[in-house]
Amino acid sequence: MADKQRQSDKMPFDKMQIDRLSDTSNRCAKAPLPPEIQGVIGAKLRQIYGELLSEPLPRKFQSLLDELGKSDPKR
Amino acid sequence: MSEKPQSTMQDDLAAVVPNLRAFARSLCGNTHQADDLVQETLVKAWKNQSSFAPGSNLKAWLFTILRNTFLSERRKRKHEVEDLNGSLAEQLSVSGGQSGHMDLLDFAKAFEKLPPEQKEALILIGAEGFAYEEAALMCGCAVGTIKSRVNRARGKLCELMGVDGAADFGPELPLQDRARATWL
Repeated sequence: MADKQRQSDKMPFDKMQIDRLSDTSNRCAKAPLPPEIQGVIGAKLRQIYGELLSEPLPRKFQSLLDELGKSDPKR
Repeated sequence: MSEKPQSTMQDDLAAVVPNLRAFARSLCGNTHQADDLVQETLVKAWKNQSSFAPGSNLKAWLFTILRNTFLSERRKRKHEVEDLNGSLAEQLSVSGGQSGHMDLLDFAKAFEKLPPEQKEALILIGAEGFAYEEAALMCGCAVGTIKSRVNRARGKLCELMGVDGAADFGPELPLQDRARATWL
């Protein structure tokens, strides 16, 4: 608290930022978020990531691994 | 008559390719660049497999290689204009299907706006399920740094989507709303 006060004395923009962050209409900007919102964000993230994970892989990766398998890793 | 320990490594690498690819695509958005990144990672991992401690976390090791490769590539490419055609949101809208709804596209679009270190932390913790300690080791930073990046990423996503409560992440939107989202 004292830190924030000192910063805002020096830099008016920091003061504005602090005001913005403490505005209840913008409570998402404050951390930590309520658990139910964290849960929803996590679910969305896993959904998108899951789509990427389940995409069919281009053949090139297996070809590369086959190629590497034939080579000596030390060379 | 060697016992070919390489074949195991090959299988192990193959098993992690989908994760490497998903991680690469969430980091750089561009599919071609992401695939190059994965291929480069596989080559480096193969060549340096002697430095991998058997029994330790192969996925974490590979993710670290991919991440380091991504960072050095980014330093090289700093002045190139970013190709947004392969962005995450674009990929989702093209792939259509389940993910074609506005809700997820908005989320993907918001995710793309996060700073790279926040994207990375959120994916490692939130999507891949690494422990904070593992992610910190992989990113070469303190556990607290990872925690605060994840928190900031969540807060920023929330802010970008204009969400004030869990209910705002409403249900799926009807089909016709997908059209509006295809410009992404």
